[in-house]
Amino acid sequence: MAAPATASNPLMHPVRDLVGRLHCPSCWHAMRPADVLFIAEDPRLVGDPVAGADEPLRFLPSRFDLTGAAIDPEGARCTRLACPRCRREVPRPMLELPAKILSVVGAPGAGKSHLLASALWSMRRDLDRLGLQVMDAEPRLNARLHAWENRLFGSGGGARRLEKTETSGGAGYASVRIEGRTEVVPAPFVFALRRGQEPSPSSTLVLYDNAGEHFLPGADDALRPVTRHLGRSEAIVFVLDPTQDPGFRAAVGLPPVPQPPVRQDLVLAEMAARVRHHRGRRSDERLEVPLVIAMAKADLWATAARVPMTADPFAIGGDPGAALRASHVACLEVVRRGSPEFAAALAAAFDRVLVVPCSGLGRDLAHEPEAPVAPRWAAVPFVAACEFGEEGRLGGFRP
Amino acid sequence: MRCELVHTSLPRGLDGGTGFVVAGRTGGMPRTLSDALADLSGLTEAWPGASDWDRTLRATRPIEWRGEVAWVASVIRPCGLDHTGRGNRIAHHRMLEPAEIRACDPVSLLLDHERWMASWKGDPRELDAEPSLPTLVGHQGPAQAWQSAFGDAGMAAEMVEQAYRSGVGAWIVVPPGVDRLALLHQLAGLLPHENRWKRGWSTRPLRPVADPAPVIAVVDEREPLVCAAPPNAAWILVPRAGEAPKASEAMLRRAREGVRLTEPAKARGASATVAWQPPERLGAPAVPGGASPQAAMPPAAEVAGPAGMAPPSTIRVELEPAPASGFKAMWWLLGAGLVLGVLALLWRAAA
Ligand SMILES: Nc1nc2c(ncn2[C@@H]2O[C@H](COP(=O)(O)OP(=O)(O)OP(=O)(O)O)[C@@H](O)[C@H]2O)c(=O)[nH]1
Ligand SMILES: [Mg+2]
Ligand SMILES: [Zn+2]
Repeated sequence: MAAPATASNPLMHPVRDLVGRLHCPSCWHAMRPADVLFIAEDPRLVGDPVAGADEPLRFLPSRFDLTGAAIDPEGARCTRLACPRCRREVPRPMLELPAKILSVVGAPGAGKSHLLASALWSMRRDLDRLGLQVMDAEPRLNARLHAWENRLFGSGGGARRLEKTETSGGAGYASVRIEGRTEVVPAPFVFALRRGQEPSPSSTLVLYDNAGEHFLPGADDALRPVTRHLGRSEAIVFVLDPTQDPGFRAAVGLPPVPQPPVRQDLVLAEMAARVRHHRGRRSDERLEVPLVIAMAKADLWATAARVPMTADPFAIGGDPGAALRASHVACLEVVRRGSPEFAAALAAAFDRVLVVPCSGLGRDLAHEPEAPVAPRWAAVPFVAACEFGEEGRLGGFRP
Repeated sequence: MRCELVHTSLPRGLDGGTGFVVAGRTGGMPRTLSDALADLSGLTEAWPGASDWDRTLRATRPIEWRGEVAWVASVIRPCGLDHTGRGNRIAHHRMLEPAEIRACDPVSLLLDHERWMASWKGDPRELDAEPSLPTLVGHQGPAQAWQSAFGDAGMAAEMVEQAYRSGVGAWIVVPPGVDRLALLHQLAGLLPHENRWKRGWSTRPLRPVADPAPVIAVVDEREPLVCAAPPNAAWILVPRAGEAPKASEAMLRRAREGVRLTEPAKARGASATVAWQPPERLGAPAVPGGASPQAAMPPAAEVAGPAGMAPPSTIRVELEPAPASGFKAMWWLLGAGLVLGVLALLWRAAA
C-alpha cells in the first residue's frame, strides 16, 4: 500500500495531533491515520468497487493542495475520509480525537430508538444540566437521527412516533463488497464530545441504533456483523422495558397484557456471550465493561414503583454518584421483584452495573399522538456510560 | 426450487424471536435461503407524506443462491400498526423456477394483486407449496401510459434502451402522480420476453449494483435516495415531455405502434415482428470530458482505471484486486521456471 503518500500529507502531520490508531466505526478495522483513503469529490468519479456503484471513488492520494486537502484524479479538492477495508466514510474528528463507542442494546420494541433520539436531542442542548455536550462530527452521516429529532421535537405536526427499526436495508445499514462477498455493516452516529468547561471537544462518541432483532440469538454472523461494536465499546447501555414482562408489570402495578412476554434476560445473556466472544474472554469470565441498564418508559411505572427521578444528576457542580444511587437502588429492587431471572443474569455476567430509570417520550403515545413529548432523564443513561471511564465523573463509582 | 416467504412484525415468529420475523414460508425451505429472503425484506424510508401505495416496493431481483442466480419477486408494503403500535410492513417473496421464468412476464407477476399478501393472518406457520404460476403475458401494444405521461410513447423506447445498457441498473425518475407500476409494466413489455429476465424491475429505488444483474426502477422524484444522489448520477434517467426520444427505430416502433420485437437471428420469415438488437451493456466508465452524460456506470468490478486518463499510480494499485498476491505468484512461477531451465541445461551437459 502506498501509505507514504498519505503520511506525507501535511493534514496528517503533527500540525494537528492525530490519534495513533483508530477503529473504523462501520467495520471496526484497526488502522493508522496514514492508512485512510480519501473520497473523490469530482462528480465524474462515481463508483467504487467496495463501497458501491453509487458511491464516489475512494483513493490513496498522491497530490495535495496547500491546505492539506487531497486532489482527486479530476483535480477536485477532497477532505472526506474512508476506511481502507469497508470504504465507508470515517468522520475526520475520529482521526484527531480518541473515540468512545457506546453499544445500545435491547429487545425489539424496548424503546431504544425513541430514547436515543431524545437523549441526543438533550445532549446537544443541555450542557448545564448534563455537564457535557455533543455536536455532529459529520452532519450528513447523522441525517437519520436529525429526521427523528424533527419528528419528536419539531413543529411539523403528525404523530410523534418513530418507525420500527428495519433489520436490513434502509439507511441504517450499508452493503459493501469485500473480497467478493457482500457484507452488511451498520451505519454509526458519530459526535464530537465536549465536557464541562472544556473549550473544545476531547473525544468522539460513536453510537448505533440496531434493530432489537439483532440481539436475539443467532442474528449476528460474518456477513452481517451488525452488533460487533459489542467487542469494542467502552460501555453498554442496555434498554430494559419493564412493560414487556408480566413479572415487571405486576411488580410496578401495571395490568397484565395478552402478548407473549419477551425474555429480556435471554437478550442480556446473549449480549454477554457476544461481548465475551468478540473480546476473547472465557465463557465463565465476568465482564468489567460498564453496563448501564436504562429502565425505559418510566412514565408508565416510576411513580407507582416510588423510583426517584427528581434532580438532574449530572448538573455541573453536583455529585452524580449520590443522585444516581437512590434511583439505582429503587430500580434494582423492582428488577429483583419483577424478574429474578434478569437480576440473576445481570449478577452472573457484569461487575459494574448502574440502573437508571428513564423515559424517551415522557408519556404514552396511545393518547394524543401528536401532542409534544416530554422526555425524563433520557440522556442520563448515556451520560453515565460516558462518565464511567477513568477520567469520568463516575470513574471510581461502584453503585 | 420454487417457494415463498412472508416477513413481518409479529409478537412471535416461526423460528421464535419477536419483532420482524418470518411469519410463513414454504415447508422444507433451507434455513440459508430463508435468511437470504428475510434479508430482502427491508422497506427503505420514503418521502414525508408518501402514501402506502407510494411506499410499496414491487420488485423482481436476482440473488446468488447455491452459486447460481435465482430470481425473486417481492411485494413489500406498509400494513397498519403492529402489536407495539408502530407502523408495520409485510414482505412477501417468491423464488421462481426456470419454467415460471419462461412463462411469466416479471412485471405482470408483480401486478397480479391477488397473488400478494396485504397482511398476515393467524399464527406463524409453514405454507403449502403453491401450484406453479400460470402463464402471464406482458404488456402488448403501444406504451399508452408513457404517451399520456410524457406526450410520446417513444419516450418509453428511449428509457428502456438507456436503462438496459446501464451496467449497474437505472432509476427512471418520474414526477409525482403518475402510475409508476403501469409505466414499469409497459417498459418491461417493450423487450422480447427473454430480455426481460436479464434485468430486475422495481417501483422503488434499489442501490445500483452490477451483480448478479442490474435492476431497472421507475421511481418518484421525491424519493430521499434520489434527492441524495450525486448530481448527474449516471444511473439516473429523467424522461422529459416534449423532447424527441433517442432510441433505435425498431424500439420506437414497438413503443408507438405496438409491433412485436424479436432478436435479429429469429426475425427471418416472421412478418409481424421487427428485428431488434439489445444494446450492449456498458463496460467502460464515463470518460472525463468526452462521454455522454447519460452513460451509465460500469459493473463495479470493471472500474479499474478509467479509460482516457492516467490516474496516479497509487489509485491504480488501490483498485486492482489484491495486486500483491498476483505479482508474488508471477515471481514464484518465473523463478521456478528459471531453476527448472538451469537444471535441464545441466542435465543435458551431463548427458
Ligand atoms: N410510554 C412510553 N412509551 C414509549 C417510550 N419510548 C418508546 N415507547 C414506545 O415503545 C415502542 C417501541 O419504541 P422504539 O423506540 O421504537 O423501540 P426500539 O427498541 O427501537 O425497537 P426496535 O426498533 O424494534 O428494536 C413504541 O411504540 C413507542 O411509542 C416512553 O418513554 N414511554
Ligand atoms: Mg428501533
Ligand atoms: Zn471499515
